[in-house]
Amino acid sequence: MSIFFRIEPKFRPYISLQSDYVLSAIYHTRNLLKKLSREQEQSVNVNLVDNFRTIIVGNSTATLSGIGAMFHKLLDEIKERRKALLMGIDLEGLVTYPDILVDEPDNITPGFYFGDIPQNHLRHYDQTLAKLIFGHQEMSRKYGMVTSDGKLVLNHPSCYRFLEEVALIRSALGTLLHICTSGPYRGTEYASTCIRNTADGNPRNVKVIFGRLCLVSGYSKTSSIVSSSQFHLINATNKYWQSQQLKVNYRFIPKCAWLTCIIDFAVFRPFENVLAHALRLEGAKDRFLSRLFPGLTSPISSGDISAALQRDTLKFLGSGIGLRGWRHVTVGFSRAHKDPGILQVRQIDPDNQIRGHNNDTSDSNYAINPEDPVGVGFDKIRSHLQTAHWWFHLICK
Amino acid sequence: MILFSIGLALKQFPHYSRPIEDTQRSAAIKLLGVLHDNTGTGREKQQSALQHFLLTLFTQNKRNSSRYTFTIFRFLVLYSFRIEGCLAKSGTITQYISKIVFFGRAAIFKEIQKLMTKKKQGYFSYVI
Repeated sequence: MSIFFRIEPKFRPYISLQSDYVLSAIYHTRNLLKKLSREQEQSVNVNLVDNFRTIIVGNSTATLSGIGAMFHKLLDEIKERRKALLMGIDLEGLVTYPDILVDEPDNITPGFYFGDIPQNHLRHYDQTLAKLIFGHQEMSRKYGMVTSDGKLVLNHPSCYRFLEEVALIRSALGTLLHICTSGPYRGTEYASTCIRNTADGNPRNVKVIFGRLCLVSGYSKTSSIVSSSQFHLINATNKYWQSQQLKVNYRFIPKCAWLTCIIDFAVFRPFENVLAHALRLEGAKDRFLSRLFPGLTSPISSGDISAALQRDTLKFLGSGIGLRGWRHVTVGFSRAHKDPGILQVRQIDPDNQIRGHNNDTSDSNYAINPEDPVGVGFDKIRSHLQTAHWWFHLICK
Repeated sequence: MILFSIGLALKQFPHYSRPIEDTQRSAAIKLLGVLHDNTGTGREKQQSALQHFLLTLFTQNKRNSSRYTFTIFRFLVLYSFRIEGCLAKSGTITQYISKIVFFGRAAIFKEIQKLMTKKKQGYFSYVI
């Protein structure tokens, strides 16, 4: 069910594209600027050399094998930094997850995420970090102390530094997921990724689909809805807005990165949330549980993500490449190595023709199941899964 | 944007004087008047004055003249210049625009909401 909020005729000219009011002029200017921006983007000089295995974008160079090596080095780095933070305790030896992860993709309960499902056995890690830290002699002295009457008094500066370090490690995790999932994110799309359903009814972006950990995101270009005479109150249900404007993307995470992600979701976040409450980090408290990139003092922006990507690509590839540059890199490699076996999203489906409806009607009304949200199409999700496999194989072979 | 508009309304920029609509000027003066009101209802008054001021800015009609008659458009043009004197990149200006559009839509949406509350209509009156 879509919910529309009709606009009083009197107000329509104020927000419509064709009118004599301010927003109309602003929309036209924005569209013009976007065209200019695209031309500026297109003018980037891209060269594919070395049998299409090296790409030169402007002054930056990236190789396919370099990206693969970067992925593994980042995994190791995250592991080592977590270990150093916890004074030698290796969480990867302590945390396990079941061979088969399950999810309830249609569960729209605020605050829900796949780790809350008992079969996934992740809830019992909620207090793991607190027990580890305050059960460790040296760490418990560093981060707080237990008074004679049994109360825990935290050492605030140390705890804040702990949160800062975790945020830095998480930014490396952000880079890791960005480079290993096929189809690079746009900055705003990535920055707003949620692990849990939000209180205002937005579904989470981290899900288990086909038993695989996946980042699901809908990206809508606002320029395409400015002329609309209706406000679309989308995401009121877990059914994605069936529209040509909203592009739903499925970025499947490679299995070798699952444990790193699960440690972040199930072990670090509950403890960070407790610390944020104790340190009275107003506003940040709930972000630790819900946002993929919560940020300490303010929510992470696309600029922050781009800066982290530049930092890590400079470190591991020798050239600092930001979000925009990375799109050139992946698009260049994808074009050169396009896998002919990738499933194409069907154009004309004879089955649907015989039934007397089009593909969209089929996808929206019939045989809907949790892994096939309304308006997306089963084939599309499968093709995204195949693309994810292909990309990971390409960079890691 | 609000500071610029208030400054323009109160003729605070000696080297940049452009006409501003009377409704905007009176709304700016009203907003300034309640800005330091620390009484119990002061916050409500401030919100209402700010909403009214934003509405006057975003419902300005150019009346067959150029887009540069819009107060907000003037702000956008000036804000798009970098300190070195050249214009910012188009991608940067679109980011400014997104923020302006957000505030504009929010102000108009709030007004619609107010009207619907007055008419005793809820969000779900138009569920399709």
